[in-house]
Amino acid sequence: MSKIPVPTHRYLKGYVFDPSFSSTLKYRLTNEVVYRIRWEHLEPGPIGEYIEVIDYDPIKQSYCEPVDLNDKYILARQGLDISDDNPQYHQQLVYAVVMSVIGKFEKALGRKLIFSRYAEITENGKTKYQYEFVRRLRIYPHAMYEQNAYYSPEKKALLFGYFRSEGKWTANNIPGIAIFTCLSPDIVSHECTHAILDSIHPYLNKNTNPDMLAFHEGFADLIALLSRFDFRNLIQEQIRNSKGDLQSQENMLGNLAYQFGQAMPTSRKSLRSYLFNSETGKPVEADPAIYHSSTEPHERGAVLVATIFDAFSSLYNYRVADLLRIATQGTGIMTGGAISPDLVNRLSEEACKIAEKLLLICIRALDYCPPADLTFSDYLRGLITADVEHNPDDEDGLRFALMEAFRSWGIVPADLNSYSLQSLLWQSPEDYYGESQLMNCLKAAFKRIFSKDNPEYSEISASMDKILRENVADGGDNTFNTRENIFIESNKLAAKVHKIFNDKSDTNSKGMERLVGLCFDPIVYEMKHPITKEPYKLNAEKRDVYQIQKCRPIIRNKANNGETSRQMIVTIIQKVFVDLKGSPYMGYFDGDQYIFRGGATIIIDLSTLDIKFSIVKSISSADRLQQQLSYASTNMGANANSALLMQSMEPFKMVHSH
Amino acid sequence: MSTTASVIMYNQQNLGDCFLIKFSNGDKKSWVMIDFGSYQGNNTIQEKIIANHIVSELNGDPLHIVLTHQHKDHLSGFITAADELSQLNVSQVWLSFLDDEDSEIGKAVRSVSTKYWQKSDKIKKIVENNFNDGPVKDMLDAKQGYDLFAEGQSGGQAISNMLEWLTKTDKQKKPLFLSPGDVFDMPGMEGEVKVYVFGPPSDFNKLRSLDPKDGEDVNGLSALNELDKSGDFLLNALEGIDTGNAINNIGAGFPFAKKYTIPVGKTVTASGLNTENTYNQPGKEWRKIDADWLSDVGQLSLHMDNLTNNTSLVLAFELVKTGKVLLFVGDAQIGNWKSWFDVKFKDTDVKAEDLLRRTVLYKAGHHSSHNATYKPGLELMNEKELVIMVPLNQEISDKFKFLMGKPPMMEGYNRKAQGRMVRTDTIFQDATKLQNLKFPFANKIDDIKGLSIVPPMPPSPPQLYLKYEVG
Repeated sequence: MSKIPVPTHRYLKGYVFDPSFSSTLKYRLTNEVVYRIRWEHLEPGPIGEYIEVIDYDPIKQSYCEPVDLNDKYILARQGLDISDDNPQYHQQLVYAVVMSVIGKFEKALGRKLIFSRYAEITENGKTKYQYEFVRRLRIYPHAMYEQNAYYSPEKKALLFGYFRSEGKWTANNIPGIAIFTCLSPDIVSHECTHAILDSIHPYLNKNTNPDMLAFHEGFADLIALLSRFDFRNLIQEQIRNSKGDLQSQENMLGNLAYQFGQAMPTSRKSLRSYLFNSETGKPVEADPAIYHSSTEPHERGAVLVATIFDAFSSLYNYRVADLLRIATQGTGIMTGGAISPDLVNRLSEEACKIAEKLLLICIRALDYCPPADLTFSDYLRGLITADVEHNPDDEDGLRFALMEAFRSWGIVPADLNSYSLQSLLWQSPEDYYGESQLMNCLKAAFKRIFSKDNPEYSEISASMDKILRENVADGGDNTFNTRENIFIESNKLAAKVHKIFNDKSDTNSKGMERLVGLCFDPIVYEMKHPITKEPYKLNAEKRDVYQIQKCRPIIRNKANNGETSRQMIVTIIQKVFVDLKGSPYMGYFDGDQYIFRGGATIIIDLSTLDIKFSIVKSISSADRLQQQLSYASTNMGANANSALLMQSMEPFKMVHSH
Repeated sequence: MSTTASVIMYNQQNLGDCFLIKFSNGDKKSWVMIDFGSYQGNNTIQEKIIANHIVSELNGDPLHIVLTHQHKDHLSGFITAADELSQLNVSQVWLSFLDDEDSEIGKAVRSVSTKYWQKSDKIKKIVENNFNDGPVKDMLDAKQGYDLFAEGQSGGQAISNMLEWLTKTDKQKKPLFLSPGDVFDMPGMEGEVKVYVFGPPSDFNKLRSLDPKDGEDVNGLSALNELDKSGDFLLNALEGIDTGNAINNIGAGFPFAKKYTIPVGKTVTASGLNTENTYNQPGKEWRKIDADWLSDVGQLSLHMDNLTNNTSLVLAFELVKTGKVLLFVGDAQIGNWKSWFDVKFKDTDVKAEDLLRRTVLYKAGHHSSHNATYKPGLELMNEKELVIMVPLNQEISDKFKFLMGKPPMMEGYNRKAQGRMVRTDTIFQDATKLQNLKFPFANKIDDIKGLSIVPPMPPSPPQLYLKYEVG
């Protein structure tokens, strides 16, 4: 008898909305779905390659028996039956949802996700900081008795709370019953996205500008909402109920975390809604004022989500216009009665296709984001660049829908001469700074590192090969290459690239680091007084320490023609200490010193060894420093009492508490 | 002749409020004393010096004593210097309606507070015994700083001392319990000085609100219930842990039936050990979550502190002829401030907004904390004449990491009062030491007309008091 191949997927039952819908006649069947998760070897927990579910409750100081998803009876019935009362079902659901989100990111990015932490390591009495591989994201499904769930960057863990429902007897809420945040796929996807985003961009959780925490929040909601389009049955039902109108009151696809929202003392319909505003009873409409006036991270993050959903709606309406005309004898206006099942199918198919494309671009855009101080308009440029890279001949109009939506929500880069596709695309350094001797030095330096002339070429090439082998895993219990190897090899590459600015003998190349946002000389910032506008100067001492935070070769394939290209993503970060003594910002920060970060995301085409894109946040930028100082000094109260609330290490905990 | 008000701000050489106001016009005069306390204990010597000074200033005249709220930095002097103050001729004691024994809301606040402090002590001890390291220790230290405001729950003692002085000659005398919307003539200055009561709000939502974003979705008494419930929960849970009975915390069968939960160290199945061993893996302690939920202990402390600050009695004194207003806000935080704009004053069309516009003296809220001056309220004040008196001790504030005297607030005060800002600790804010601000800070006594300092400057500080006269 021939050997039975390892299955490619594991099937697990779960909710798509949350438990509250499973007790309703109308939504029960669509709420309960089967998650399709890439097969992997699992220990009880579940503990797999990427995550470990640890069901420990520190308040009850007790464990719940971990589920063994390899149990033959469990395997045979596609996971444990749905049961809120059984903690093992909770473990199964968080596992399914988190793995499904991880799968989406890996598919979009074309590489494996690596978790790591910047750890303090003491060796021979010396303390140093370095990245340490963290194999698994830890998940605590019952971590606290609170109306809260959050991602802890310190612990590389997701903590989910549970509580007794408050609120009123409205909708499906029952005051007094147990509400588990880990049973809401929306909340689980949201928190898991925080963790993944942090693994890709560890400096984007610093609150240096009003968009940073907002981006984290908005992006997390976005992934949660777009994830639902995996479930075709659900989409069909929604399309049927709303007669194909995404922005109708009947449509639930834009609403997040129903049960949680209803269980709060305020009894909201859902925690957040992006397509239809149930308070005003109207579809959500673009309003550029919100972005320019709100400062609260969720509110501001909501603008990002609404913008992407705006693009989604336009694309959908554009794509289905013909179908609706056919179905309505050319009027495009739906009359009473249910719509035909065939039309439901076709409309759902369009909606799911668009959602899938948007999700891919939204995730891939992360590779085209600066490593620090991100703004929404940087993200727009990342989206456009990612889309053009992925799909050079845009048949769907995806990027134009995005451009239109961002414009109508008031998110436009400040330094553009025109709002056009070309001006939004990120560029190579010479497109920004022009040709110069220094530019040639920079280009040559990068070329030298990756070319055969480099004496270390064989090591570099070996590391790259090992990393790129990640995609040749056998899909079963034995992966060909471990994520830890990828981490190790990637660090070796980073060490080689770090040498790029080491050659001090070549005086011609002095200062070339500035072309990628760094500066190894003392920096003088030409500032303006915030009130009187009088000019003054701030100084940062010479600091030539910098970090190659990431160095990862990837293979990119284009959407339509199957063409692939090899690229290298390099992110560089530097920090300097700006002296604030004697300045208007004296008295605000510890030691009258401000930690200011700059750097770049650099994408190198490995066939030509040219720098294809460089996405720079210059450490010498006085404008950026001015904005950061002004933002930090006016938001000081928000960071009050961090010791009292034990928040100094948990940037997301307070943001998430309701 | 016009009515004048001379306001003395005493220097406790500590963090705390003590104000003595004298309204006068010719032979007519009337005295009000607002609060008297120090944040740190053992300040008896300075408090007695201040008390003696008050007694000699009054010289037997009738005095109206106001206690804004029951925090130590506003009332400790009424206890430590009781012997001295008992010589005073106290004609009236003004308290907020929340201190009235018959007030329903007052009862609720008192009951929750009393219970809270009992729980808080127990909670602290258990946490200390079981978790005292890292962020938890920092949290307890910070909590200690906040709790000190209410140390010993001595409000009751201070009030009974006041009542004793009040009833010395007439056993029938009762304190006045003031509510928002009350308006009355200052006794002794009838027709010349009017008193308007702005706060505390009777809406609980606003009592708790720390800033415009926080707590707005909590309705009515539920804020108090929430505080009470959170305290109960924390105490019960901690007691469970302390006595080795944690498994029954939050209820034995909640959130899961007992058959699903296994106490620490009792797992026997291989799969169970899988979880327990992973959790306790050596070298991975940084991933444990045993203490994370205790951030609620600190959160609760902060809520209690905010609640008490927001119970502050807020009074505006109007000099009728000139229309000038002196505003004393105690430690009112944003929630309290925001409620003023909805107050309907009895038998008059005057609104809080009008009185704010005419404010020429503002006693800085909560020692200039970041959340105790509502910016739109400050913006309304009369910037041509405004003087801001700030009872502040930067050293103590910094030591306990309070956000008092921080540049944004100092800058705001300074801009609004055009440099006429005086603080108890430095008398004048030395702009160059704080920030490189180009606009004026008062830097000598002549910059503020009507200001005097005793003992005069020079010699060097500490001074006993600063006096400002509103004419």
